[in-house]
Amino acid sequence: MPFTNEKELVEIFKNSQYFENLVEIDGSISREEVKGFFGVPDLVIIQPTGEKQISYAFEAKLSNWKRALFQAFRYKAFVNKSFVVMDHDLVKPALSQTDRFCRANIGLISIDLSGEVHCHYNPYYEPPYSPQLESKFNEKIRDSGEQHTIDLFQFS
Amino acid sequence: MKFKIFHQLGHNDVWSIQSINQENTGDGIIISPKNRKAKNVEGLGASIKAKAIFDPQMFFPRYIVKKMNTYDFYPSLMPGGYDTDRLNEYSPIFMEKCIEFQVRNNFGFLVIPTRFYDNLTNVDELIEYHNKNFVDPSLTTINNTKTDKEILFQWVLTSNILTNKDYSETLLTWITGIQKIGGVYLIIDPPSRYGQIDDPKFLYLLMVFVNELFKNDLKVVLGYLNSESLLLSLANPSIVSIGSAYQNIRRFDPKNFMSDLEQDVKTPTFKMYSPKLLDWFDFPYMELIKERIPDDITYWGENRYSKIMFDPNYQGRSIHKVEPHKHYFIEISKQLRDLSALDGERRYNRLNDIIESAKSGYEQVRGVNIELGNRDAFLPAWQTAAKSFASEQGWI
Amino acid sequence: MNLTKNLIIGLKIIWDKKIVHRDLKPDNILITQGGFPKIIDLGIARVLDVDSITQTILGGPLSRFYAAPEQHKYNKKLIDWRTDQYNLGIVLVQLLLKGTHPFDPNLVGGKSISENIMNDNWFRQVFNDKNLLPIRSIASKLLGFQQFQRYRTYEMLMSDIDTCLEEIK
Repeated sequence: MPFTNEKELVEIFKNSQYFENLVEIDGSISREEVKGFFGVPDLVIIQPTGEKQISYAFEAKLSNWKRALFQAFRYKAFVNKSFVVMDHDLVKPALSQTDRFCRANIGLISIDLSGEVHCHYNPYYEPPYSPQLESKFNEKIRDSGEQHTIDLFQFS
Repeated sequence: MKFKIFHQLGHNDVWSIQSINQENTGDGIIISPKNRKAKNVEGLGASIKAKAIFDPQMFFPRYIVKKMNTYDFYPSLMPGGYDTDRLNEYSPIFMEKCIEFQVRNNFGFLVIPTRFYDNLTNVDELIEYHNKNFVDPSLTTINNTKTDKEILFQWVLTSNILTNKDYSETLLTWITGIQKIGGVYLIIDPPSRYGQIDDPKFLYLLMVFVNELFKNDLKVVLGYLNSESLLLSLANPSIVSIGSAYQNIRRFDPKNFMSDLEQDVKTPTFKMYSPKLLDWFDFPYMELIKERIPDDITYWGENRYSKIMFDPNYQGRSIHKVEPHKHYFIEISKQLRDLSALDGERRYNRLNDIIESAKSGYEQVRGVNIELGNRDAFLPAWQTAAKSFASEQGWI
Repeated sequence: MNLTKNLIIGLKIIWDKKIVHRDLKPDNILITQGGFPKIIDLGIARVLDVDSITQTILGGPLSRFYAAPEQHKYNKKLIDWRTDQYNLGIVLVQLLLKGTHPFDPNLVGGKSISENIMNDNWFRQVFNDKNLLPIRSIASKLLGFQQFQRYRTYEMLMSDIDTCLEEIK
């Protein structure tokens, strides 16, 4: 059974094990709907990993994979890894185009109502293509002061 | 037939005037009273005014917005406030003032204003209303003034009108039946106010409409255009307009004439026009395309403003910078002048080459793994519209 | 064509006064001994600026055969001097067809002349005769189904007629 709307999809994704694994690293920061850059990702994470950090952006779409792909690519201007997160019931058309996701190095994930995440393409780490936006983004997220040492989201 | 390029003025209109004078990117201007006070219009140089069209912007007789309150010809100024029932009584006065303002300033043309209609009002009533309140009083004043300036009849053309055959044909009959006019100043209200126009039917019907006016030996001025001016040049306009570097800012939006608050306008991000891709791109895309396709100057053109914008030391990329505007004016005017020098079938072939080049540009950009989504969806629409029109003209 | 030209010169007198004849047909055109046309019967002529008392759009029954599409639609508001052009266009082509009506069902099919007028179905093949080719564009324009397809100004019409007469010479 498909999700009712994107908001529901985002909520379930935030509560998934997949997402939890990403934010469990001490010092990780996540935010929703970060504005002022190049598009508005539904979710972002900055994950400190030794000397360098890894930043993630997620664009949730029920079915319009083309639009999601386009928007997720915009987020690569300021994050290292960008993903499209889709309704698992409706991901099939996108699956026939995974080569397009690979070429653009955009991750493709689908999730069902139970919170089970299916990863169809995991992008490799890349520096963002706009260093200027990257540094502004990192600054903004860090200054938000919301880190996962203080639980940002309620995990069941 | 060669056509001219006029800059549609709005905010920061001084850049347009500079660009015309210094870089020959235009042949005249279309003045917006919403953005320029009456005394500042009167203060423009005589040579500029002689090549200008003054757009009365009387789309909503009830409203006055921004600097329109410095003019004395708007019906909303009638004693006691605007009243539809009294319009007939006052319209001769306001039309007289409107025409006299234009005559006094010796603009290149005289414009008869008209109202804007969002929906399809009964066409007979619409014609009668306009003849009574706008056309006849304006023509009477022009006759009395004994000026020899060419008269343009202004009309806002919407998708509703164009897609209704009977309605648009009745309008054409009416407009071409107004004996004393020498041309029509058509303002295009597109089906979507964001992004490129990608409705081939709208574009084709628009070209047919323009061409019918042309076949009636009427000059056609196309207002509030963006890069679709390239496509619409096929329909034999006499003047095409170019707006600003930010495609959505200079697009016609009736809501902007109903309230002082600019409606639904987020401050645009810094964008640059690509003459190859025929669209505007945000700075991150600009950088990425330039980085991955560095050697092809046709993507961004080569002028001093494009060089400045790609300089790593260039700071403060925002709508308030002059470079994207002047860069756009240079590049689009080059493309338009190139087309203007050709006629009929040759112009169509050149336009088709431009569109094909754009299509291959988008393929090349995708080929270097830059995801552009459906950004180029407007190109097939342009091609379809152009082909249909060209076929009707017997060019193909 | 000279006849047509002279007719138009005559009509200009009333067109300049914003009067539309509305009932041009062979019955209303007399030819003097000198070969000059005289237009008669302004019985249903309409002054464009005045709201007519009469709703008459078409004159007698024969007028229907020369009526423009907008007259068949009974839309008084659409009628202007270009309506007279259409009437004239029918007369012109009828002359070329030596009296046969260009919308005659016997020539072009259809049920009636009126129906053929409303379907823009007239005997365009008359211009297969090379001698008549110079007249084709004028006739086609006069018989434009929509008024905006006809001549917008008197000057444009006369210019084309003069050019045509030169070609014929």
